[in-house]
Amino acid sequence: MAVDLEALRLEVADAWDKAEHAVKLGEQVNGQVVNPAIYELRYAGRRLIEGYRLEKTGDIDGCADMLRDAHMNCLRARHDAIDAATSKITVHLDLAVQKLGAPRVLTCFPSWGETYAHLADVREKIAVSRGSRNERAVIYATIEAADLPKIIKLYSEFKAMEPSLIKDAKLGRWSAAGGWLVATGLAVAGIVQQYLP
Amino acid sequence: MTFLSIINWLTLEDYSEAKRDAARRIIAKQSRGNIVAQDGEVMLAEELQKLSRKADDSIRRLKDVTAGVR
Repeated sequence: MAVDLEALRLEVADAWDKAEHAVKLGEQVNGQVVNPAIYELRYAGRRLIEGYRLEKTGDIDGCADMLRDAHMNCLRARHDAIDAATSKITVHLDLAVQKLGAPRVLTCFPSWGETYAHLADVREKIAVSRGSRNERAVIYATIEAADLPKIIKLYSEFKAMEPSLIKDAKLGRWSAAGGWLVATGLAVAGIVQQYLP
Repeated sequence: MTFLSIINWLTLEDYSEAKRDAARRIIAKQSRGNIVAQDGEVMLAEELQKLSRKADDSIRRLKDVTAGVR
């Protein structure tokens, strides 16, 4: 059976567009964490070049293999970008709650509940996709189209609030440290007064 | 507790460092075969699996922590 290189190329082009869109969304979260997805696109580009060379030498099957590999790289790029973006947001919010204090975060960031609900939903979908290869593409398409833009918008709101949260948390830590110093000083003074004639 | 860790705690540098570390771990996790991006971290399948579930654990922890506050 003859291999339809044109159809394969169109598949790669479609997957590339989707991956690039996911990378652009991920870049709004953090420019660094989408790097692995960009590497995958680079590998896809390499496969396309190799495929072109093989086609020129008359190796049509070899070219088709390269196009299939490129398609797989594009799929990985899309999934990696979405996974990295949602992982980054989740871990960042978790750290904020741990380090800045849950009451402070919940008070300053009123959309917390909404953000959490969306994130939990997306992480659940990603968990389902791990065990369901057939539905993976549909699941990631849904996340990219419906969930991710909302989460990124809410995350941007959180990041806008973060400097004031940090300032407030710093004040809290300095006050606590001051309190400990005063308490220690008083304790030392008490002991000295007790034992000195 | 070292003097430096106290300073880091007071200046919230521990928070910034934890964020940087989290980003680095996410990149290392997903950089299949890219030695530079992995920064020497060549992960076995088991370790990758563990890391990929870290965000899920964070979600669960967030729920537990914030449930007590609201």
